[in-house]
Amino acid sequence: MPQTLTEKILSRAAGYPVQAGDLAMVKIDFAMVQDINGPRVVEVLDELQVDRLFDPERVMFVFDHYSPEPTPLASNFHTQMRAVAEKFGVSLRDVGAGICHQLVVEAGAARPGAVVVGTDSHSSTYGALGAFGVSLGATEMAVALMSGETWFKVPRSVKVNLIGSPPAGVSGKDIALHLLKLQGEEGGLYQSFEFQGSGLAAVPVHDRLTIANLVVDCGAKAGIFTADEVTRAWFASRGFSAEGFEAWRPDDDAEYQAVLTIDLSDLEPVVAVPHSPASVVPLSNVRGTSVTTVFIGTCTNGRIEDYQAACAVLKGRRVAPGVRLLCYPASRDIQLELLHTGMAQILVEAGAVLMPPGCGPCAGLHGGVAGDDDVIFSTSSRNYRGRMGASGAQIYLGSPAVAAATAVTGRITDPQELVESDKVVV
Amino acid sequence: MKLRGHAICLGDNINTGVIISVKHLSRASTAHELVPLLFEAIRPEIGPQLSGAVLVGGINFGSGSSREHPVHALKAAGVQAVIAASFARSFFRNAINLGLPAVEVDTAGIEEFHQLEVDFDSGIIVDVDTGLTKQISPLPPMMRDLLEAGGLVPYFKLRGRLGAKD
Ligand code: SF4
Repeated sequence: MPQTLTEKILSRAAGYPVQAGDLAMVKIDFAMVQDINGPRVVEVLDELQVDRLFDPERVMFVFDHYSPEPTPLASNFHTQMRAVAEKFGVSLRDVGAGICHQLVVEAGAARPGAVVVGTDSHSSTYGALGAFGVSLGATEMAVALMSGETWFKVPRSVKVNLIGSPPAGVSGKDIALHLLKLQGEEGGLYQSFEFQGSGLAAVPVHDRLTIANLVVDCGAKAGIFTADEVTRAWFASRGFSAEGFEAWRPDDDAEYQAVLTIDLSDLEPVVAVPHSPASVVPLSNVRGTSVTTVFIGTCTNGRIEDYQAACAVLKGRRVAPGVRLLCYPASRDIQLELLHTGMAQILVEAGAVLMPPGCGPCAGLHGGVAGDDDVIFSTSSRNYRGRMGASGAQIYLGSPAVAAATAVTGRITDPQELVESDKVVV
Repeated sequence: MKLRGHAICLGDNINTGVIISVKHLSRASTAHELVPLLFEAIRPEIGPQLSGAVLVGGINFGSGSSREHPVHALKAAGVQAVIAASFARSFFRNAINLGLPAVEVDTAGIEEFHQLEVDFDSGIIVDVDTGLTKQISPLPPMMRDLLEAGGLVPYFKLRGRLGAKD
């Protein structure tokens, strides 16, 4: 029976062939626990009197949502989790190390064909590198950490056929938001998106990470990119083995619930407007909207390429008076690269607040929390009402380049406009 | 398994942040402390009405974050079950794993405060006030076992492993 990529991965992990609709018990290859759900994971491990984990080397604890801790209770949570990480011998990425999904990716744990689970909804990110990445609740994560197994209903797959290549100014974020617009907040429910097609070659890994990250915001269970030359080159350049990747492609005659073709060359820069990541409009519709805050970072768009795009706009410019520009690199490696390449200086000279790696105010927890009258342009994934703090705040989502241009003018701005106005000055 | 409670109707795309905002989680250490904060952005006065209720959602109930706190808080408030036209997968899993029955069913026509009867064995939901009847598809055996045990932790204590009875 021909299989989708999702069915292939889950069949391998189950140890027997499964197909869409089956309830499968699968072995997990890697598990990540972050600090929002970690306290409950630790509580359940205790309740079940677990004395060893299935394989401590395949487990990572990350302190990112409370990095650093905003309240005494958050600090107490970290103290508990630190002790448990030590007890079981799992890798702990403490405050300042970075955002969970970025750290799993940097560790090379999200590999083609792997089943990678995390206690965070954006665990779909791992699909960028060909893994079946999916979130688990805290209770079932505790059981998975003990047994090395969990259950899934094998999802139906939608083939997302990418063709063409994106025009200048169109980033992975624009591709992802376009997909959310097509699907709505619930259009992908229970489904696995499988990204294929000749357009894949034009989508670099950092953009794939943004796209796979956001599929969960239209309800999808997973978003998996077929491993290709781009994937191989990414692993090789980081000193990881890239063997056996060929196996992780769907069969040619696999059955899909639907096929969605996206011609990347038709796309334009877009923005998600309050209060849904699926309320997506062309950038030109919201140009000129005044903002109080710009936020560049998160597991969606806090990578080095995102800062390169932002710095290209910010170099030699200043953030508009009355606007705060918050920059949270997604990991310490990225933070170091910002320092080594001089990008940190560009950001700070422009007037940005350069913060330590972590989630920052993405979920309204600390470090730039929104007030009722704030209008925020953010590179993050969610603009639900109240997401970044006060429920009066308005959150717009878009790409790092547009975020940077918006910080410079204080109004939602197409970076191209700044380039044009420079020409006039010269 | 059978239960009866009054309907609280909430609509489509009720995300986990609407159920309980994440910003309270670093301040409240027990589920009971979260109860007064449930649905504060859309229905701040709802707290006392939740005891014994059957929540009725539209499409995509529980979307957004995959954290379990919303389910813990709903249980602490005394919610007996959630029925919705569709669920976000992580909410559905968390509900079952924590022993809160979650049932996918077309919820059109069910009205606020009407008495609902949910019979898991016959697979029928009745709006007692109007007689409106809805058919639900049976839960897969493993999920039914989980619910009957009261959630994943008691289930695991009982059995020591996952998987349907064999
Ligand atoms: S950066 Fe935002 S979306 Fe990503 S894990 Fe942190 S809080 Fe969640």
